[in-house]
Amino acid sequence: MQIMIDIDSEVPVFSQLVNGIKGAVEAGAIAPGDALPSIRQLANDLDLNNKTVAKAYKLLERDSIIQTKGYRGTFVHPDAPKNVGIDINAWISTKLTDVVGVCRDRGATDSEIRLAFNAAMQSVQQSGG
Amino acid sequence: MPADISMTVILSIFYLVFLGQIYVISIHYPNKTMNRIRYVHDNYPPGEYPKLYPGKTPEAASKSVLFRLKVITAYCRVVAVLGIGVLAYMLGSGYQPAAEGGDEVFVMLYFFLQAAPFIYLAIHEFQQFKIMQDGHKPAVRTADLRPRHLFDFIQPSAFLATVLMFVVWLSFYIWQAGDIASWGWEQYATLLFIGGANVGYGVVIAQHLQGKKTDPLQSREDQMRSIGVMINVMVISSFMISLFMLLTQMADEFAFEVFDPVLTSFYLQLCLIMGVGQTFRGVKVEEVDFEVYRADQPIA
Repeated sequence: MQIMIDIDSEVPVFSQLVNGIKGAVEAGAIAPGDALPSIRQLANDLDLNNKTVAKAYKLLERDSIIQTKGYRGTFVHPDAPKNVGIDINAWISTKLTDVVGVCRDRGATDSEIRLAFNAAMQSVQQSGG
Repeated sequence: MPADISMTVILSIFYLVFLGQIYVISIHYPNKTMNRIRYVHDNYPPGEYPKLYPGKTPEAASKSVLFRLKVITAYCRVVAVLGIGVLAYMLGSGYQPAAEGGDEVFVMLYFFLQAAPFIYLAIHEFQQFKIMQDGHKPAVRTADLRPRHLFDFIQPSAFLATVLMFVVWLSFYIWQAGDIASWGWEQYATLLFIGGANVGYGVVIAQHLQGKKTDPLQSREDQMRSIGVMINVMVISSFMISLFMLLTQMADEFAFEVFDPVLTSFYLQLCLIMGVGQTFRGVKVEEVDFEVYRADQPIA
């Protein structure tokens, strides 16, 4: 199974990697438990910075598409076929739309909502979230 | 020197092995290398396969290849004649290898003269690939989603045998060197040299498994074949260096130093057979996908 990226594309390279690996899982080209190349191998094969591939792997790990087993390497997560359908960005969008809706119903202005959102982000960041 | 082996026998073995060294390193493998380069040049000319000839222009690079071929062929012939001359001088002057060893230095010096074209070609190839890499930055890139592991390319038993050989040599070396407190710089230098060589082999293996392709245009199949060959060459080299060190130390221990030149010559030939020979056997030029070097078709 091969992964393809286009560095001239408007889609960020790390997103192309995430989508490529998700697509491979969806198509059944890679199955749960299959080993994936190391960050260094994939970065060198695609002539990319290690950090770009590491970022994509981190996002895929967060979404439970892949899992890292220490020195043994990176593998496709057992629940990956189920999890590829979950779009975290769509979920965030839905959640925030609900919250913004509730705030507006209570009479909050847009700037109040923005300030509160920034404060919440800062508070979570400071508490190490 | 062992009493029951006559000097005539020892000399006969040495002359035979040294003649083998002249033939293998200065005639056989240079011919094979030149034939290989000529085959590629004749079948994949610069007009149709310009990416195979990195440089100012493919035609100029191609002419330079042919010129280098002539120079290297001439050099190898001169070195072969020199070797035969040395052999004839030895025969004529009644040469006898020193019983306490040390004559292997001359075998090694001659080997360096013989191996110079191979070293030059390797450096030149590396430079060519560097130019290819600088000039080849495609926007669309593909990669395999399968990891490359060491044992995908080499039998675990072969790897284990190499590790065992190293342990056997190291044990024998430490036993022979005696009390560590009495070691001089030579003992530490040998350990450092062999240890360093093995670390070097490891680095080359890791680089081939995880690093960038040396030839950026190479097809996936050819890349996998090249990685396999390189790993095998590195593992065999590690095995051979341990075996050679073990045999020369055993020769010292059991007063067989008179065979040191024979052992050295034989070892150096094997190095080339296992290194260059393995590469030729593993990557047959007729099986290489040269279409990746073909000129791009103009967009209509």
